[in-house]
Amino acid sequence: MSVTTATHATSDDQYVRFVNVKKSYDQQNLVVKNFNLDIKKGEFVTLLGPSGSGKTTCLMMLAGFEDVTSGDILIAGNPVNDIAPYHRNIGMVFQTYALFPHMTISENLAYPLKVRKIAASEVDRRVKEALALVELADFGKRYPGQLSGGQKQRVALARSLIFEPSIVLMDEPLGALDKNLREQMQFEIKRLHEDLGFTAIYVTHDQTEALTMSDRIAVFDDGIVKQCAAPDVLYEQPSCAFVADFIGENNHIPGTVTRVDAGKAEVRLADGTLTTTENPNCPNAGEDCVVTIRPENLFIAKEGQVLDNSVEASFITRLYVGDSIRYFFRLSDGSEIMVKTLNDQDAPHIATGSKVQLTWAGNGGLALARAS
Amino acid sequence: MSQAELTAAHTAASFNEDSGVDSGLTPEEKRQSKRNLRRRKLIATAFVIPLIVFVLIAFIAPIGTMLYRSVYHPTVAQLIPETLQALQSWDESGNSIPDTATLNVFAKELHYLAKERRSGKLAEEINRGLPGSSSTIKSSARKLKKLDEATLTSEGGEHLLAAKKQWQDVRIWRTMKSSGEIFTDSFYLTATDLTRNEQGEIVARDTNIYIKLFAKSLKIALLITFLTAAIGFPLAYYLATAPAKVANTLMVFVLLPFWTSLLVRTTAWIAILQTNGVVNDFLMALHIISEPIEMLYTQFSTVIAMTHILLPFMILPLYSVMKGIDPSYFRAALSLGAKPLSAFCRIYFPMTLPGLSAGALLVFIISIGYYITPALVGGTDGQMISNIIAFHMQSSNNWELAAALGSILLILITLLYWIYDRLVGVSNIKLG
Repeated sequence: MSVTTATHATSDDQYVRFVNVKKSYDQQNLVVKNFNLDIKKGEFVTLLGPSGSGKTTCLMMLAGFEDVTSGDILIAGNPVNDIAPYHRNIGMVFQTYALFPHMTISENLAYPLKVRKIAASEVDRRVKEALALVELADFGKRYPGQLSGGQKQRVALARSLIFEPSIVLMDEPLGALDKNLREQMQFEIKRLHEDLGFTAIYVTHDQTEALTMSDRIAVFDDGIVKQCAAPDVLYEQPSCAFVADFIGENNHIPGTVTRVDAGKAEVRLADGTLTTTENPNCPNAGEDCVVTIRPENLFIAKEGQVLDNSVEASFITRLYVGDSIRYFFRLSDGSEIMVKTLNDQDAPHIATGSKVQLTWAGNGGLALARAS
Repeated sequence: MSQAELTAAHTAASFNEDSGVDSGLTPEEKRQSKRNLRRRKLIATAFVIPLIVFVLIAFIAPIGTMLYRSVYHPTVAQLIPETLQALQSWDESGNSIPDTATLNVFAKELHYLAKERRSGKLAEEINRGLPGSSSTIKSSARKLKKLDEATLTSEGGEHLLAAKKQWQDVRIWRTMKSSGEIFTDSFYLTATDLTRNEQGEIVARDTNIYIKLFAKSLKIALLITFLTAAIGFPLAYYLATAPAKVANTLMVFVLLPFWTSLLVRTTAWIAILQTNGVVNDFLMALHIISEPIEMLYTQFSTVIAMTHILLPFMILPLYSVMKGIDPSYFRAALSLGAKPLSAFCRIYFPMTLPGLSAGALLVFIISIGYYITPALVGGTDGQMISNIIAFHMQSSNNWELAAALGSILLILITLLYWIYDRLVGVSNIKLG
């Protein structure tokens, strides 16, 4: 039990711990494969990944709705594997809101207080407070069916906070909202998190949401955490091709490593071009790799304006997005590549099929091991 | 182009100009829109016509006829019209029998009825009002049949009185007069165990047949509703939460009864419950009982067989409602600190009410009017109101009473439905 004794010293840094957690539903395949994560008290951590990658399962295990196949989950140093969900004191927000349709908003909010046998006057006061907190003071007497999606979500949020849990879990809480409302709610959740200081664990498959809201993001793929880091680190220094691709848009150009220096790598692309790039987890010289370049770091070269690297490409088409324009090119090896430029005076018009030079700075690309 | 056309065209054009972009439609567009709307309505009507025709033929018309028949009773009036005419002037509240002229008229009519072999019908009708008068009428008819018309016109009354001393009794004449009324409430009175005394007041009958039977049917129906709910609820819950493969297989078992004949299912219960049936043989083989228990032809067998037959009607609406309940409601309740039992009672159960009430209503209404199962396995103890209605339709040939009983059943169900609507709300029901 060295795990538990060690945690007491740093319990605030390791407020929630997943230690070698594995989960299988069918006794054959692991849905979660050896999950380890320490979460600080008051931190906003997002579990991000494609659907079926095990992130929701991790959340459900923490909430107590799924049992842990092997490993330990600890809260404030105490294992919670055998504690029933209703004794864990963890707030939870569901994607479907899960507001009880036969109760008014006030009754919904009062429910967690009533099951805790809190005095009626105190319940009233806290319900009013909670309604004010989510700016729905006049909605107490309504039923969930009479509220819009955003309002329901705010009630669900208020209900998960009203019994003052130290941890709040959110399972794709904004998944059912439209884009504008989602952005508004992201702001709202951040505000509440900062005001109330609870520890938030947030599950989403929307990378923009994860980037804007989180202190740290754990990127899941197939039951494994590929990288867990702050948003800017994930975006700028992805540790592997999956993360590079999953967070934001990215171009992949296959190539072969020719030389590895400290922090730099030289890669020969399929058409023979030699490039130098940053090197976070580049394989050894002679092995295959991918060079990833963000679309905004890639430029269409004008006369005499060539950066450290450049490659020849033929133009396919362009997509008008509004604030930006996306240009699609094909390299000589057949791989497609996308360039994003601001929609300003300089945005060029290119004839279909014409050849251009695409250019990028040495620190604009990363050499990464190919995903298996 | 004529002047009128020009004006019209001009008006239309200026209308467009004046109205601008944001204003309404041109008359032509309005016409077109109305035409489209009419066509859609017509098509919609065409779709429901078969249903409406079906309801009219198989539902509204028979129920209307039944309601009419329960109060309309022209038989006696058709058999002895002249007697009834003569009886108009007779005071039935007194203690004297009608005058000789009336008796003569009746004697003559009875003579004709006897000749046409219709006197039995009259006997049957009067006997209903006054038990024992059947033989009086029949034997008098036989005697009067032999007399000729002239004798009857002059001294028919005397012959009548001589034929049977019951004709001296004022009650038979009262019965004759009251059953001669074409519209009558007597069948409703009979159906609710009431009758009219000699003064014409409504009083209770000595024997309570029909009220008891209604009460028993109600009790059995409620018991069956309760049993199907008690058995169906956990089963539906399991079906709704089980993995799809298991749930689908079990669903086949739930639906299996629908694919077999009702008669076969009921007969199966006869085989199971009878004196030397499966259950008794099994219990005797185990030496749990020394002699067979009487299970068939009791209320018990009616209840158990009907519970089995009506179970799918409870399970299906419950299942469909439970299937629609997001499991995160229950989880949310747990995460908010509710213990499982409390979460079930306060959160899950109220959400299943639309299904439960739909199932309960279905089962109750079907079971209160159930006929075939009680008829086959019920014996005398397990008979329900529909069995006595069938008896009056088929055996005692008293369609009017059957109609009155049926109408009361209909009113009873409508009343219960109304109460139910006030308590639960019909709009809350979810059938699937």
